[in-house]
Amino acid sequence: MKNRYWPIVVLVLAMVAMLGLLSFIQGRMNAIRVENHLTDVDPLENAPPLVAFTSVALGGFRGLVGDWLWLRSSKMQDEGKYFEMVQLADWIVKLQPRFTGSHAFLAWNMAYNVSVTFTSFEDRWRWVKRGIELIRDEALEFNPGDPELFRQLGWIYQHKMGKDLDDANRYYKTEFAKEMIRLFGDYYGQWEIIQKAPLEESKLKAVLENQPEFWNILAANGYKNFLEFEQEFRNLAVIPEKVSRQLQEAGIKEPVELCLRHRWMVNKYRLEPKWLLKLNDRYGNLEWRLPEAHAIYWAERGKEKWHSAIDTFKRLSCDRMIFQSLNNAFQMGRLVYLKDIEHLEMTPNISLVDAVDKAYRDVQEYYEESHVEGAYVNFLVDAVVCLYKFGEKSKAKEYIDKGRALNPGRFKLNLEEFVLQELAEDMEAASYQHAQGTVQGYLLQAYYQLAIEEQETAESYVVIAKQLYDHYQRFVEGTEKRRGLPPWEQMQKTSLMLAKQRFPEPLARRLEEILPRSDEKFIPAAGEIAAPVVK
Amino acid sequence: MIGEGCKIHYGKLYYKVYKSANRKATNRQVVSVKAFLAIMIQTIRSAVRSKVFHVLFLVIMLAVFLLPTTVSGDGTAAGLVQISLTYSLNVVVALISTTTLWLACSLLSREIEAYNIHLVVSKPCPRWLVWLGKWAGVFVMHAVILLVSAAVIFALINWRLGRGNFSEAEIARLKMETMVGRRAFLPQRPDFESEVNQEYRRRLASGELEAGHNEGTVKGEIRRSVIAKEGEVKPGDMKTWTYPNVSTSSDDDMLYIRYRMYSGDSTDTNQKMIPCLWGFLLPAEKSQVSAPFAMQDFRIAGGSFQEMPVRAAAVVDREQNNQVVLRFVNLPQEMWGGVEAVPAVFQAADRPVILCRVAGFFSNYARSMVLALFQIAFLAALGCAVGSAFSTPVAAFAAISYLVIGMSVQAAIGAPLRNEDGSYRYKNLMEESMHKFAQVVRVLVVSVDDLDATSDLAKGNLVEYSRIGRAFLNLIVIRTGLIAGLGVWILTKRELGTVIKR
Repeated sequence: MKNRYWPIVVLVLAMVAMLGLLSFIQGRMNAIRVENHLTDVDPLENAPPLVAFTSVALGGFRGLVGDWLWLRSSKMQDEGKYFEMVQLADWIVKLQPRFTGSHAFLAWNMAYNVSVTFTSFEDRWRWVKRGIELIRDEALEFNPGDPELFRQLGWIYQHKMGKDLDDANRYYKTEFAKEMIRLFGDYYGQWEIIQKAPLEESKLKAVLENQPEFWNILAANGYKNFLEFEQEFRNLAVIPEKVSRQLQEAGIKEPVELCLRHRWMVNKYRLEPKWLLKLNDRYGNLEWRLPEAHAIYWAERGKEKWHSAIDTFKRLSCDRMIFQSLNNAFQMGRLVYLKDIEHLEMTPNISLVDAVDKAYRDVQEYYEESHVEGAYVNFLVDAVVCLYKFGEKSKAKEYIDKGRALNPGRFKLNLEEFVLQELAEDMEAASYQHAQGTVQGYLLQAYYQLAIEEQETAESYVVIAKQLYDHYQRFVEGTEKRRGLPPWEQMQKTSLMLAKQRFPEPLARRLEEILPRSDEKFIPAAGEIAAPVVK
Repeated sequence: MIGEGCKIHYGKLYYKVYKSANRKATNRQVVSVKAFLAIMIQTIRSAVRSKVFHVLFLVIMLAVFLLPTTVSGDGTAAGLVQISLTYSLNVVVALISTTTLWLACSLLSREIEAYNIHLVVSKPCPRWLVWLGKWAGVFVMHAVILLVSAAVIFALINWRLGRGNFSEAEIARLKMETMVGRRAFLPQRPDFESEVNQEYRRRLASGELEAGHNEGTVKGEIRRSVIAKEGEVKPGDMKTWTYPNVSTSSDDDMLYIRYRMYSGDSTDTNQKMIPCLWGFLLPAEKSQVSAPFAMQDFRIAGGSFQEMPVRAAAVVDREQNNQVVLRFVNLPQEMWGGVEAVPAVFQAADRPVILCRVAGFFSNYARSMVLALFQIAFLAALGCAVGSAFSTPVAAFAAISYLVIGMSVQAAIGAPLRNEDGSYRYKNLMEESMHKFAQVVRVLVVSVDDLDATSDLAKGNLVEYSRIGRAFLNLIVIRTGLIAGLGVWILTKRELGTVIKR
């Protein structure tokens, strides 16, 4: 080697040696930075090499590049070139991984502003999902515990998907429910079992007692490794049939599937089963296939991080999200039937009423102000009406009494008069959730009266339900896609099913005996109600 | 002097260059195509040796191979193609333009500074041929790089599309809307002048106008108001557009109506959802009903671009000069669902146009590459011209300044606010005079943005032959011709012996 190359070789070797040494002390240096508050933010975690490289190599110029990308993004949006926005947002997040305010804005912009520029519901849903994914898959990757991101994510679930302000809201709910059904499979609600399932391949190996059977089956079916099999599982949402059979024969299907679903929930959707359990314990059984439960989940996670005095306002916004979502979940938070957007049907989750009430009161107590008094009174009104409609008269009485204690003027009428008055007002300006709940409530009452052999009263309830149904459908004419109710026959079927589930066993049996002898108007058109499954 | 009195015999495929008649016959030289080719090849060789070129070429290769395979769109097939085209082609064309300009600026000026050119000009080779050979060398080399890069990008996009797992419906939509060349048909322009005259006469008759008023000023005001109102549709009102000569190759073709409307005011950032009806006149049903419009209801977000497909067979009236009639109804207040109804505003630039497929994607792609080639030809000429006059750094500075002025002027022209009728709204006299100045400079300076066809290509808009023809005339014949003439003149007149070697 010529002499002139020696200095270069020496320098390169020195550089490699120093980098090697640096890697040993970097962890300690980061710890010192945090301990002594030497930087405003913690060192970046979980960053892929490209992000780590750009954040170091570009230094202060990252901001300039980020600004330019931001301006380009705005320009592209103005020109209707939305195809670039996902890529630009991705780069902005990678260039400024700690600037979570910008990530939250970009996600909100996609979910709200970009989505509504499309007329097709499918296109709109794609953009709402992009917004969610930007926070969940990108921003949270670098800022795993950032409450601002949690809050924004919760807001998209609660407001964009949960409310009926967007023409496509029912499409969102339907598609989201399908996605969740795919995610949970047959293990919906079994959070404790899922929580115990291993999250890493090595731990799965330990659960399978280090037997190579599972990996032999994978190899025999052409999978190069566990990750490839996992990808296939996520595409199909079930274990491929042939593999499933072989796993079943080997007696290891359940631990494998639980591990796959646990990993899918945590790694992709960032849904921690322990949190699902915690929230179910706190509020009652939430419907995790509907957006409200997810709004509560993210708001709770955000709230947990905001505990200092300066975060009061942010914490309050999370609390608001929680009690509003709980209220929605109480009023229409159980998925009854799902085929497509026309057939999406939900029903009140009455068991949540006390949890919602407690959430409102806790918030009032915590902030020592009447921030939410108006909202609480509205909830009490809704609770009384809803409980009454669904036959929970004693509970409705309890809630009207609570209302009287708080606002005697608003709750001055007796229970029946109060409910009738509210119902009349509701149907004029009802959201479809309200209208759906009202019609279902009357149908349930009708079946209850039928079961106790009060045929005349039952008939009058059916007539009222049908009148309300027709009245509401006329009222929303022209906007049926957004606010229309499911077909009448379907609502009858689901209400009858609910009645059988909810009534005490003897009453349910009585109803089954009486029904065939009753007037035809009580008998829904033939056909069974399918469970909410997705093929 | 060498180069005077040149004569070109095209039929014999070689040039004969004559010296002036008063020179001796022995000095007459015949410079064959070989001389030109020799200069061109030498230019390419020395370009390939340039270190700056090596770096830029490496970056070009990275852009060609990495960008189409790494950028991700919005998850749709159309998004993938659009973003790949936008990023790959833009970056590659920009990099190739940079190398073109740099090499064009540096090769000639360095040869002058290094006295290499003295060896060439002492041979029987006119200076215009030296200049042309340099230009051709730079152009041909970059044209080849561009075409190869374009072919690779085209192949990579198709490859990625094939691996994308997209549904058949999505691919079909992509081929109808994005990977296609769609011609834009504009609506008939309303007769503003007769409307203006009519309104003027009415005001005159009603005595609204003062005696001694300036007719031109009043008519100008009326015209602005008429044009502004032309794009406004109040709640409960409707508007009809007529498109003549919508020629389609077959009745199975799809037409796409592209438009953007604003709710209330185009400057309002809080745009509303507009409940409306869109429909077409159905020629087949004209005999049965007087105005057989098929209408469909929509709720459209204000300020967003929209595309609405319709089958050509249903709406093109073959008996009426291939006419299409489109109607829009802004629904009345009762249909706005509690929101205050506002007018729908169509700006002149965003009014509905009908897009119809007239060429395939490959053809459109090739056309946009022709425009890119024009750009390279122009930049090579610009670089060679300034390289003839200055040293490399000064030449590069002069060429970049020219381009920066072109880009800045473009931005300056678009800077003032516009009225709804498309006219400019100046804040003061200063702004107006600066804007007029920018418009004059714009005529003189070429903006490279003019040649960017990638945006149209990505949207599936046809790059028309007429556009290519205009670009050829304006950019190649006039601008490049003038700049080339200037460069040749400078090189011919320049006293090369006075250049000081550093």
